[in-house]
Amino acid sequence: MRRLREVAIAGVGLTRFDVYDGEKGHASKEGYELGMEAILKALQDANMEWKHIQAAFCGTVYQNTGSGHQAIDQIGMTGLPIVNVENACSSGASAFRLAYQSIATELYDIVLAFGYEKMPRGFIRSTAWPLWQRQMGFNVQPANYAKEAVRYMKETGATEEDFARVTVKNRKNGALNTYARFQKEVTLDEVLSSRMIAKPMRLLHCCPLADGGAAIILCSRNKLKSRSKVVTVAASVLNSGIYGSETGGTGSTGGGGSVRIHNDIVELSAKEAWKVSGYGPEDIDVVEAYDTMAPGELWDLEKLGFCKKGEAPHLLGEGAFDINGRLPVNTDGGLMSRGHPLGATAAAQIIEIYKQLRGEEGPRQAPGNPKVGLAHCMGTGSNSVITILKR
Amino acid sequence: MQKPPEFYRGPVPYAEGFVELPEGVRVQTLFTDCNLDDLRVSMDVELVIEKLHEDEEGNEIVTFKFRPATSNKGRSGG
Repeated sequence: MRRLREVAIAGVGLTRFDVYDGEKGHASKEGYELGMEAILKALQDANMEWKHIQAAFCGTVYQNTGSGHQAIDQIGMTGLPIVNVENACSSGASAFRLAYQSIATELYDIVLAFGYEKMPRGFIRSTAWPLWQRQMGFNVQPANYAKEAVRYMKETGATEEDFARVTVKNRKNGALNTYARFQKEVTLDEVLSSRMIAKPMRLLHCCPLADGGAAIILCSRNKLKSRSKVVTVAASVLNSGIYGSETGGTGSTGGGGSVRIHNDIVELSAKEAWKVSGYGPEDIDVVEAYDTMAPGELWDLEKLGFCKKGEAPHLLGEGAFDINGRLPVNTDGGLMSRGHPLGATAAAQIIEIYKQLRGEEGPRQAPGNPKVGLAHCMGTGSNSVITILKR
Repeated sequence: MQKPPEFYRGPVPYAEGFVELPEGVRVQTLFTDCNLDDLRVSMDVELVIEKLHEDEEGNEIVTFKFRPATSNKGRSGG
């Protein structure tokens, strides 16, 4: 591959992830207003003006045609190219990747990547499968994770308590995040006694619904307004779909036997991310893993190479993934606390890594002056997107 | 699943999973004719054809499902 120009993050903006339906004390906001709010915050953070933005990529899933256009229309249509990106739960990071590429290849100098979502209620709806499969009750998100969890338990000896500990850890971190949907800790007992959704997945193993927006301005190093604590992109990789996968969004692949003929999609994208960045798992100081369902964080960390298969539950129990642990994971509370506005989620993960590397996270700042961080998101389809940032 | 997702109009709770056929092909399927809590990874199952639901005009829509084996025919993959 040809040599790419270094790309920095100029500024970031996030709305609080919450329910913006105007009921029970919640504010009433349209999705595009959340997108606009995030963009304006990112501009302020970058100390840039709107006219400096040369192109925009917007990640959404359930919004209407021209989702990016709607948000940008609130700020000002300058004739800049706007491209809307739908890549399920990984849309925000997919938009980020396109922005990154357009600067790395010297097409533009300053580009906006953002994502927002005002979520429909109920189970995360997917139109990725034929109607007959949905009529059969297949490919419902909690059930897909339940199947993977059953297999993971059988193969590794992991327990329902291990899964519950992911929720407990992430909700504890989320209690320190004033932008999270849920800012209250939960106990192991509360998770294990919550309502069964799809055995063995309970309500508190599922990330909550939330609405929100997240925006990131990327630029070439010479366009930065500030040279202190510069964070650059070390890798932005995306893999979509591997033949032989059983389900769309969990990272699961053929579970053995004669049909396992390809690598796991998460392992594949991790391999690419390590190759592109020149880093390995041992170099990473802080991680945003994909915890749309609690057990997913465990096999995510294993597939990314941070530990061997089946080791993550034990390490979690030891506190290795706590904010003060050996490898802080989901310091902002993850999807489990933040909530999951599909278009915004993966961009919010990147923002958390960016702020951790700049030492700006206050009570949830990872100690030890983190220098390299990784964000991983999955998406139905399937998609696996990894972003590595370095300071 | 404890509650019906969008478009599913069969009985709840329901169980779905994968059955590995002797040839190595795996089939995503609903399970039937059993206590759902008794389903286990690697148990032997067999094919049945039965009603999925009735459509808007009252027509019976049938589908394949698997149930715990009364003879050895296939294997559940989870």
